[in-house]
Amino acid sequence: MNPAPDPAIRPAGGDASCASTVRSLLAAVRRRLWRERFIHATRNALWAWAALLAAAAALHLALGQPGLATALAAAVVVWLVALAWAALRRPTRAESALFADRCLGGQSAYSTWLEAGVADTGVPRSPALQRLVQWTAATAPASRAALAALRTPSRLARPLAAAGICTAVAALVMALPVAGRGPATETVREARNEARPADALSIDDDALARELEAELATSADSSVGPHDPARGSMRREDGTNAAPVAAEAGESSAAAPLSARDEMMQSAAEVSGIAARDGRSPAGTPQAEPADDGAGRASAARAPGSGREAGTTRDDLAATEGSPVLAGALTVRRRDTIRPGDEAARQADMAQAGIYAGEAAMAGGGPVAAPTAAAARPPAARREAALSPAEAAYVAAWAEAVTAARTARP
Amino acid sequence: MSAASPDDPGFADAQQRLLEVRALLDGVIVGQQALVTDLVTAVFAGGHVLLEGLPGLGKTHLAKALAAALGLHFSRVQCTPDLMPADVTGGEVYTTAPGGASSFVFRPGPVFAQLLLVDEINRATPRTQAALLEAMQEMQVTNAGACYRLPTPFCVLATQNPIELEGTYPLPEAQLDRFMFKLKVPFPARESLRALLDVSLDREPADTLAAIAGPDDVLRIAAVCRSTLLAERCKQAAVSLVLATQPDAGAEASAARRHLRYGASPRALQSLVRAARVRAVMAGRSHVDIADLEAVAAPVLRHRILLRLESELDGLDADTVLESVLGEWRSRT
Repeated sequence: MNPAPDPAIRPAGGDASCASTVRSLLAAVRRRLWRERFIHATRNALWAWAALLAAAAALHLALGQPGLATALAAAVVVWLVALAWAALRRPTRAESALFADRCLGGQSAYSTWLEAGVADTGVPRSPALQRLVQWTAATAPASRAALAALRTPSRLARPLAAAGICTAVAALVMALPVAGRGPATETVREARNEARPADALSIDDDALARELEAELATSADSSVGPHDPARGSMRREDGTNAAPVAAEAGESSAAAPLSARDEMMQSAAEVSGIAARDGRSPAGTPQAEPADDGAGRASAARAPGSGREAGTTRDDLAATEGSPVLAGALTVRRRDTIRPGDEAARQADMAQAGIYAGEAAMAGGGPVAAPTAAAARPPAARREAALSPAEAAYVAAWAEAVTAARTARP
Repeated sequence: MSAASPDDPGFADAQQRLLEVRALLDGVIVGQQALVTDLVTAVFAGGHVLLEGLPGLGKTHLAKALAAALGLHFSRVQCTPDLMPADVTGGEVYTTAPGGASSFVFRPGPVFAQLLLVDEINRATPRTQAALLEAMQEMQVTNAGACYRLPTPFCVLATQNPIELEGTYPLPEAQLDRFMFKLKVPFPARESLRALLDVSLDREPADTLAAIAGPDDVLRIAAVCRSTLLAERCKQAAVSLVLATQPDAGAEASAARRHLRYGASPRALQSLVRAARVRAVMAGRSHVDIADLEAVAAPVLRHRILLRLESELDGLDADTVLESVLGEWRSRT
């Protein structure tokens, strides 16, 4: 790089102008490179913007956080960082010369020109440098023309579109109401929120029972006569209410008024629904938790008062090997309500033969068997013996109402 | 930029002379432009050339023409197995002076020339080949404790036949490394063969060739070439190219790791840059470009790399492997 100067070579008069030509070319290249760095940073920032908002939308769907403002703020920060990075990385003169050598036909002349120090002194000290200055001066216009003709695609369309789409999607997702999101965690939380008023309602079971009792009393005072086995009466001789299974058995010719019976069915279903939401059996016994507890509660919460639709279908029962209705408790109550010799009532309930197991002793006129203790654990549901949810709810409500009426009676 | 400028007669004149020599040789050696360019490059870079080609392709003719064009003192050695070192370097002979005094006088051998053609060098014994080592590298001959400087410029053009290997002594690696270029003489194309009939059927063009330069011109042009500027970028590229031939250079040379046993030496790096400088002057530049390095990479490196046995069995040769090496190198520079 330091050849011996040739005394025969005199510095050319136009060397200063040659140097200025090359300097201006390198400055133009430098501006071009800086602009391309800004474009590159913008492209990266747009991609980062899109990715950030997409991730924020996904997080918002899953966790409910963050909000749109937070996501936009983070994206703006990313954008600012990218632009600051581009602003701080101003191309050096060596980088500009290298670009000119590689892409503008410089053939390493501009790098050599910079390293030889011609840019600082402006006067070549050797024949080689003089030749270099002449060469670069002759090449600079062509390099400038090549620079002007050089079209580097900005490639901003894709990241811009991605950023716009992701922003729109994120805004849409974050603007959706909470109920419409649908993931399991959200539904569980909503089900828990809705379970709180159900607790308050369950407190009013007694009131509902009293209402039922009043309804029963009203029906007892009506024109319906005493027990008529042929008609499937709703009232027994001892004043207790007959099992509603007769009505459930499709006896459309029942003597009880249809309106009262429908009301009772509806009330019982409501009680069943409330109890299902509360996670208890209609009889008040804690219910065995199925495996998909959250989903079951959620579906029960969505359909208040609907016994069958509240996650207690037969398929659900078979799958969970448990019944929401404690058969033992129901049996106790039914035994409690049946008096010996009520042959007609017993025949009316022949469809529920399993419930009357062990009643042979009672049929002999012996003393009424003491109510057995409720099973601590519900027996496995059997397809042939299981009550439908509506039946179970109705029976439970009926039994509670009757018990309450009996205890209230002196 | 090819025209001579009064402001810098050194580079412009050097470029003009180089182009004239090349054009003159192109007219004599028909259809071998690349070969002639490489040969002129090596001579003005101060290197020695190993020419490899089939018989009858004009290797000896090319050497004669080059010597004639440059006005160099030319000598020729035809190597045979019984060739002795003294037959190349010369030796002391017992001489009686006219006055009656007798003494041993050193009689220079054919190596004392400016352009030495060593024909079929691989037919000489290793002992004779080794006698050329000192001459090629040190530019001197030592005999009986006395050193004799060789004339400048000094250039050795050695030829060898790639097919007749029986009874030959392949050059050792140390001697191969002394050659700046190994040039392969290709078979001429059809048009070149046709033109050859017009040029050299009835006459020997090299014998009638007029010199367009002298030894001093050669030395001056070589000095101009040595003053060529070399940017740091080109230095790094040259180093990278040599490292790319090293099989143990790491991730920088995957092709070399696959195919090569030994890579190029540091002397190859020097030869690479010196030859690239001549190419830059030929192109009218006073600075070296990476394209100049790439142009001389194959002739500089092809005889300095040693292929793995597996690669040779796969039918690969040095040029094929060098293409892979150069491809990797281009992607990095």
